[in-house]
Amino acid sequence: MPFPVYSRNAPLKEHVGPVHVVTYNTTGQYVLSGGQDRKIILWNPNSSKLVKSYIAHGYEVLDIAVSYDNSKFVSCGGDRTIYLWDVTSGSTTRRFSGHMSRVNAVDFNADASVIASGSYDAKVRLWDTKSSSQRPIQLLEEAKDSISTLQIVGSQIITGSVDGYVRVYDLRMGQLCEDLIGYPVTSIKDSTDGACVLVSTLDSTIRLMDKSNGTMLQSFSGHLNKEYRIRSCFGDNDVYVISGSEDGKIYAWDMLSRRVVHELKGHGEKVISCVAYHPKKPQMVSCGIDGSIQVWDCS
Amino acid sequence: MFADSVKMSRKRPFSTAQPASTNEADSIFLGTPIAEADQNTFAPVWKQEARDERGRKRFHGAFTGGFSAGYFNTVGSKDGWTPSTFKSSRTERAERKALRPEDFMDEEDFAEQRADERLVAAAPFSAATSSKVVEAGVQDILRGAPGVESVGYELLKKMGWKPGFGIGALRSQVVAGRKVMMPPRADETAMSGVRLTRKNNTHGLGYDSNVPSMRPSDETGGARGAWPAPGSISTKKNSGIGVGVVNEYDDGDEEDPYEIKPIAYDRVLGSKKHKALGGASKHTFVSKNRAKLVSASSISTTTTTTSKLKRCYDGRLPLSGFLLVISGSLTSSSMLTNEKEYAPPSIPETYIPGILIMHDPKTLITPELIADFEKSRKPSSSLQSSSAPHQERLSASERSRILGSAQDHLQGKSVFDYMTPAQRERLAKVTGNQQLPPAKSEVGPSSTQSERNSGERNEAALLELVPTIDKHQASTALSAGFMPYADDNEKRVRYIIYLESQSGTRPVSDLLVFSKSGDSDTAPGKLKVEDWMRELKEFNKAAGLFRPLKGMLANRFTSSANASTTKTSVVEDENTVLFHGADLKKDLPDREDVSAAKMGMYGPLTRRVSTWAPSSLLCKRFGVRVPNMSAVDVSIASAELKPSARDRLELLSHNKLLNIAKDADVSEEVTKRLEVQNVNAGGGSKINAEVNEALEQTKAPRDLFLAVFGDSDVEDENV
Repeated sequence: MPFPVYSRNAPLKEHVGPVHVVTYNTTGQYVLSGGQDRKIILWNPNSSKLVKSYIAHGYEVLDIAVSYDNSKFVSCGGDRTIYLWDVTSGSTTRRFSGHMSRVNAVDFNADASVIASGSYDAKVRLWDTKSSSQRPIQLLEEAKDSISTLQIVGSQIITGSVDGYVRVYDLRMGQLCEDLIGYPVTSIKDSTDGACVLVSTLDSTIRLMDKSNGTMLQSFSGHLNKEYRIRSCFGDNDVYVISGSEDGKIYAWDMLSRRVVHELKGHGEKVISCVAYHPKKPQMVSCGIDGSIQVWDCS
Repeated sequence: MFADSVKMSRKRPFSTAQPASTNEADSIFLGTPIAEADQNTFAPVWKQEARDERGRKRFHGAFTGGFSAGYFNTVGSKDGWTPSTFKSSRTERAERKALRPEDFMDEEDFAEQRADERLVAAAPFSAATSSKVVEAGVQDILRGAPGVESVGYELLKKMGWKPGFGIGALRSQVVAGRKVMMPPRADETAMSGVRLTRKNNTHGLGYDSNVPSMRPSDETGGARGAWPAPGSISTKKNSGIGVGVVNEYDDGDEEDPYEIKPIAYDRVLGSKKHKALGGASKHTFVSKNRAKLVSASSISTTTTTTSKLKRCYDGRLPLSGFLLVISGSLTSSSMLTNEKEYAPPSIPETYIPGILIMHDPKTLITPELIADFEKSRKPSSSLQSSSAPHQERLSASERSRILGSAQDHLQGKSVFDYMTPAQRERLAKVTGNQQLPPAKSEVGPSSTQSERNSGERNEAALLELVPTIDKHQASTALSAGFMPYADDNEKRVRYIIYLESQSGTRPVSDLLVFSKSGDSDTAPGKLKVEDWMRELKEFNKAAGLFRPLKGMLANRFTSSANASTTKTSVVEDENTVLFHGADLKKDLPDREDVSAAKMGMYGPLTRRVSTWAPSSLLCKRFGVRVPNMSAVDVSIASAELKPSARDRLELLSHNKLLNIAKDADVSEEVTKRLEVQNVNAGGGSKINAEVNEALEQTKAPRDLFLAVFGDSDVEDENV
């Protein structure tokens, strides 16, 4: 399928200050974005219209994850708390606190019963949404430095940390796999088949690592990533690898050939912090530190 | 005319009726003067409250500003103006208080009532009924409070008893010509014998005057009971209440009243009488055989007692199978117990009681040793009394040698051991005493630095001076994670060496590397001995300080991955989230996985697999069974079980390429690649090769890599 390269509508400028995260819901109908202005905005990417805004965070919003049924989402940020929101009512159902520094990443498990949160304090806390306990179910403390990103895939929890390791906690096997990448890891994305992991690091390289034996299958470069947390993702059923960059361009690589197939300019030549690809159709949304959010379509 | 003479109000108190000064001699005094006693008394307000004889307040705040609206003493409360709690609402109506006769009585009535009161004993306790013996019938016993059926009543009824019948077993009676089982009549019951008589003595429960031992020892009147007779209390002056310890030596021998005499276990109450009976006797079980033996023996030995049948103290015969044992006779103790008598151990002839030799267990006590010892103990002449001190033949060192105690360094050594002959001569000249011990120029253990010369002995001496730490403490200090002296790397190294030497992982002699003095002073990195000692003491203290953080505090701090703590790994900007990474290569140069990662050799070198236990709740939430941690080499297992992702990728890419090929823009290249791939996929996708490939930098993996990913542009590699 062709790559979405056209920015039909004007970028959304509802946020004031950098937008840290942007994500689709499971159907692709809506986009949630969170930024430095402590707001989370739910909006329709096709019409670029704002649907709802969620205001409760005391500090910037750093990550958002949507549950499988799209009825709730979880957000985290600088106020060290994890907020569980109900989409329709717009209020916080639950709050989880316990981290000792800002929470960088958050994710649901398959049935939204567990929330994993990774923080600057190098710990990952796993929270139970079903009980009303204030304490996490478990604490993962193996990382030596800030957890920058995490993802729950099936029965695995994959975390990436600034200490240069990608850790895969496998619940079924009861084992922890630590892969040393060598550079601070800023973004983790599991492939659709679950066999490999896309790892963005601060040496301006994105690596595709094999989960089974820790070898590197592919590496992608050409973009600039030395300082900021820039998220990368797969596109179109893992055909493309897409990432933002600090030079104001969105880079798209062909996964097999590792060639840069597209460079899309946008967001006022500023750092593009996050990109998200539509789950079903060729559409992409990106956000940058200038506060704008751009939807990309084909033709 | 009046004014100057009649003075009504005077500030001065009237002490007497006489005028205070002669000026007022002609004035008239009206009214009685205030009595002397009352004049100077000023009572506080709270003492001046007016109360009536019942303690109720009067005047109702007339002088103190009380507000009552006229309700004083009208609503039945002591304060007068607070009504007793009267509540009546629509839902809860006030209850009507029943009036008692006390409400209508006044003081005089109460007084009359009190006068009429008399205290009398209740009916069963009154004197009128004391002589009667109340026959206890069933009804009386079962009778509870008047008007209430007692529990006993109900229980009996439940068991089938009917009022009117007695209590007891059913008896056959002839009723109406037939034999019938009937309960006993009410007036003849099992309890007919109970007599309820009044207790008018002071005996204890269970007192039976028939039992001789219960009778008071001095028979001064049986009814008296337990109270001691007037003469029975000892009137010895040195014991008794109120009298101190009076030491009277009238008796002759020193009778110490506080002397704790050994407890006499054979004392018996009222023993004077019972000695006549033949001593204390108690029931003791004896088996039949023993009884025969005993009776046989007793018959033979004590002829006097055989005629009498032995009785117990209460006059009764012992129970069958029991034998009466009289203390002191042959029948007691040894005869009755089954124990045999064992002879005491035989004492060796060489044993001399009274010698306690505390010795080093390694030295054997030989007869020579004992002989030596004996010699030293024996008095030199028999004329000496035992109280005079012994002439010690043996010196302390000889004794210690005999005893086998460890030869202490300083004991047994005299000053002369350490002196040179020249010094000894000088001493001898000065004192005039030529009988000095010979001088041996020894070197003592704690000689000063000036005498020290290099040699093994000195090194050992140095090492002795090293301050020690407990092994455990040293190892915890080593694992503290934070090593002090961050600015001085050499010092830190020395500190670590010190800790290691104390925890046992390193020989202590390693510490001496830095301690050589003398010409190595000029050598860099070497310390003089004093500095070395000082430094060691410092390390000793530091080891106590720098311990690993525990508990909650440890949660607050994490050490970063790299050794140097001065560099920060993450710098935060106001607007954005920055992630600065520490350069692993620079900080951890020795780690092989780091170098492998830097080179891009990702694989077994960069991978670390360990077991991790998810909590059971977590597994439950994920719908996963809790994994059992068996000691299987997980890395191998995973490599074997999971098919290589490479193969999967091949398939994937194969599909993708096919899809792409289906689209409009199909290039020749793509089709070529497809063909190549097909060949490779069909050829054989071995799994095991990866393990070796990562280590070997051969062309083979590269080829495979290229074949799989179909990299046409070789120049693109900038990994």
